[in-house]
Amino acid sequence: MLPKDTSMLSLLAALAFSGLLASAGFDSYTAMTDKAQAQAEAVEDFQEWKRQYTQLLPLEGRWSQALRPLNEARDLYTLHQMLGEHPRSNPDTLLVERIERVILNERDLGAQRVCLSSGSGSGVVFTEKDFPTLLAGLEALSLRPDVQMGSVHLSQEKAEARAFVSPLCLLLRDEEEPQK
Amino acid sequence: MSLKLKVQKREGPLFACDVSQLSKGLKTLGKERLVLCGSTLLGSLEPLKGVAGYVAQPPRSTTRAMPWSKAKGKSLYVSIDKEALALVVKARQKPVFALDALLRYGQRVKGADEHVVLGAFEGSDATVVLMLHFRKSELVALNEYTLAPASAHTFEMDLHVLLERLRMAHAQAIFHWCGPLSAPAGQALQLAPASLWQTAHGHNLTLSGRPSLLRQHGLALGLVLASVASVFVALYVPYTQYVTARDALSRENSQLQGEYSFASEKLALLRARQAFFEVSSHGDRRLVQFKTVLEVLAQQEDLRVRESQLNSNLDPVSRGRPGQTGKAADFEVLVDVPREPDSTALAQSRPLLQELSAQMGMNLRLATTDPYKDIEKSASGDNKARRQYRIQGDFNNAP
Repeated sequence: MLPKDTSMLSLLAALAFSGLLASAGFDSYTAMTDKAQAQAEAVEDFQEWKRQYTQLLPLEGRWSQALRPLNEARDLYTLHQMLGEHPRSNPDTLLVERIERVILNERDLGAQRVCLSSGSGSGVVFTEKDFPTLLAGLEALSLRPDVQMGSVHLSQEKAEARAFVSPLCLLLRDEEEPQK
Repeated sequence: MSLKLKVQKREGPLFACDVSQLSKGLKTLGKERLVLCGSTLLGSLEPLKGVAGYVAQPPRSTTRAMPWSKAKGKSLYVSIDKEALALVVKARQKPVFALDALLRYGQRVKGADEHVVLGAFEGSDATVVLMLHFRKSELVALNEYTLAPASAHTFEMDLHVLLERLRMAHAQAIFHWCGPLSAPAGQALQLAPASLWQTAHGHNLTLSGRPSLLRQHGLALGLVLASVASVFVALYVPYTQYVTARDALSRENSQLQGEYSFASEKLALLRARQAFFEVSSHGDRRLVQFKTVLEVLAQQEDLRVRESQLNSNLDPVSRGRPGQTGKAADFEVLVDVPREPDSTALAQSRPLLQELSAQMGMNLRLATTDPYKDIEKSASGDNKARRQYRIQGDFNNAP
């Protein structure tokens, strides 16, 4: 039973207001809940990202160890030095055939690919006194992550074992590595 | 029926039937209830239009039916004495109207179609008898009679005469005595409980006679406030969840020194580099496998490797011969062996390929272009004629 003297008009207005407020409040509640949920998901995403990121972070070190920075390659001589002593190649005929960005899975890895040639053909000639030495050298080269080797053609030339690697590219990372 | 109603004057309500009684009573009034009666109130079933010295109160319904019901009765118009009102408002009292208490009682009483409800109050110089006549719980008539004071010797007689007159007027009605004066002896009266006066509702009175704004709109206001509050409460929970999550994010983020801004970019770069290291490790195996092939070839008696080619899988665009679907063979070797004069080149190649395939654990085949060639004696320096084969094979890609 309603208390005496209650104004029906104001009571109805209050009821209508409460109804409006309830529906608006419900909408806001839904929106707020959605927002809270989205935020919670963002936190979850972030934590997942962080987990992956921290997991992958050691790669940074591996990357900068495996690849020499581009600014170390000042000239053909230093490039030849980077190829190493064995297998032997001729520094005098060495040319830079092309330089391109290293793209993998449509993503720039932050490195340049410097492809070399020994003058004729788009590849580098290595020579050693025999095949076992040559193959050992080539294998050592192929184990380096900063060297990309294409096809390898082996042949005997005079008394020497000859390998024509085409293409042969050195990967040089960009200098500015964001230090973490 | 003969039980006498004893009014407890001390603890019971204070009855005030005129202004002087009221002003006197208010001085000593403690926590007891105040009941207004007699000349402090005017009640009528006809609208009271501006009676001098009286302030109109909200009309009462003569029945208990809801205001929107069809059985809704007429209105009982009530006014209160201006002076009495001023006194009551000043004393902040919530007085009970005797009229209301009797109306309430009469509307609820059962047992017959017709009832007469009587209340007798002692004023300062007279006794006031209030008579309400109900038919089927609806107030149909009311009247007030002023008798001699209860202390006067004529009082008993006056009351008897009044009651007899009323009985003659309402022969069918059951008579109810509500006090607070004791019921007259020798009369057939239903005695109402004394609690009637204790349970009656008091009124918050205002000088204007209209109920205060708070009483009119209090419920609505409360409803509005409650709904506002409940909306706030309902929003509080998700809001705190949101704030908690936001704080957690910014805390985590601060641990990484704000790297989240280019986070996905950075992560994708790391992933790509991880993929790069995985891919570059494949190259290793290719060369090792090629070495094994060459070693097997070197172990063969009377077999010379003239050339060998390891094809690239890094750069699929650069290789691939016409007539071949897909990629080129992983490797290709040019070998020569002593010619078997009795067999054709192809016939000689079959056991050779089978033997080599078995040793390498791979499927070898002759190349589609220049698969074989006979070499004359002079070409190779020794005296035997030889046959040259161009053999292709694929590494097993099983990990």
